[in-house]
Amino acid sequence: MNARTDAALRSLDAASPTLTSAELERASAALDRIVAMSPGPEHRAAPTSPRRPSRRRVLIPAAAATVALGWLLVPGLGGGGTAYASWSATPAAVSTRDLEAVKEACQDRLRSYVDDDSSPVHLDAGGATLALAERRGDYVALLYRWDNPDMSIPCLARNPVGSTDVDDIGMAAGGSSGPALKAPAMGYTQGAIAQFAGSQTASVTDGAVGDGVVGVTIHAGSLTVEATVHNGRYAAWWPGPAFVKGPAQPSGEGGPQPILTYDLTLDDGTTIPNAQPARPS
Amino acid sequence: MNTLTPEREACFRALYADTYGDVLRFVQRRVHPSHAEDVAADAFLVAWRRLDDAPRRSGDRRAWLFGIARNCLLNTRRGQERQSALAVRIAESAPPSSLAGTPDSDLVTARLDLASGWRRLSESDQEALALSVFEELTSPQAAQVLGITAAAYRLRLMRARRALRREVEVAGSPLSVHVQMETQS
Repeated sequence: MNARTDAALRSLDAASPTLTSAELERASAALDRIVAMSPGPEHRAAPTSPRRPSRRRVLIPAAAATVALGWLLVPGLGGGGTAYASWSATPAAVSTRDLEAVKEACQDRLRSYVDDDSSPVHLDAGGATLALAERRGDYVALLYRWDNPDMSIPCLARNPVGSTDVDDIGMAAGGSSGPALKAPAMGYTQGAIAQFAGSQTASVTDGAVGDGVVGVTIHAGSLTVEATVHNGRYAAWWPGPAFVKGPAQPSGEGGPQPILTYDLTLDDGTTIPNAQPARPS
Repeated sequence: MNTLTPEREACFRALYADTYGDVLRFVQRRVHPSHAEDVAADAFLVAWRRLDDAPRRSGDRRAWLFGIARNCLLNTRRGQERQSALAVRIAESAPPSSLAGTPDSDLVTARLDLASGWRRLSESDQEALALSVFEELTSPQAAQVLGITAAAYRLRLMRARRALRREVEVAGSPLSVHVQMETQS
């Protein structure tokens, strides 16, 4: 009886019985990217290894295909259909009291995220710098940064103003294995882009801005978001997608295309509409 | 396994070739298809770093990789959810072409009831059944994936089977119809 029921269930299997040629191609490319990464200090290749180290290599396979960008689709964030109803396009400052509450929760999650043996991200949580913080309604976003390797981990958490309650915490990682590159004057770099696919979509991105840039406005489809800019970096999140909606595609090379465009505001008050990101050398 | 580069890389490439399809299918059953390849790549990156921990036997290696992939999926969840079970998707589509157009509508209905019953199972029941039915693991291997003992897994599997039978019968089709469906399809 069990065997026949099992066979009937197998006819309902959601997985593809065979890999398509495109999937095989992407699997082969992913394999090459994985073995190009150091497995750890005890397994480093001998000095005679013919492999030439890449200057900028992304730590997460999902993002490895792009040089400067980390594109990541992350399942499972979003507290509910109206969770982001209080979101505002313009960021607000986070009070010291609120910041302490969110920092405690995010740092706890960060340690768990980067120290977990099964995590694809291996960083020293203690070496993270809190690059910036912003509030949009009930949600606070903190951006943790490492400059070498160039990695960003945004932490998005629900924390109503004046409350010590912190929940609905989401985290994603993106970057590269090389050192961070400075953005050119009056320019910017497009950093990691993460889209959380929970009960309500949310996206977050960050990057570097060069001298003279005081504002970054991001257009994500119908949403316009004023990013927080601080000390040479910008970050923003919004309750909507970051990628073109279409047939299921993987992240990374040949994967989903961002829908984002950027306007820069310079310190002399001029704006550069639809500014193009600087590419790393 | 205790190998050094480049033997280590050759060993990993062989493991990847043998198991990538199985790991991708494991993930496809548990996450939206648009994320499956990314999660599989994350899992193999972890496996690359922990290759020395890989079991020697082929079936045990699959289970080891499934456990890593499962942890990658749980890591994306929040708080207490990280420790819980993963829902397992089943096909959303209409009955297979072998049944389409046949007069035996009972079998079509039974298939839909089976799918409906599956979706009403708890994530824990779905996971226990899937490891046996879809991933075709032995009890010790499935237990390894879940991080429990083989005895605990067998108990969980038995309860999951009972729950499925109950849910399908609530939906209206005695489970015996599924047996008939299978023998005719």
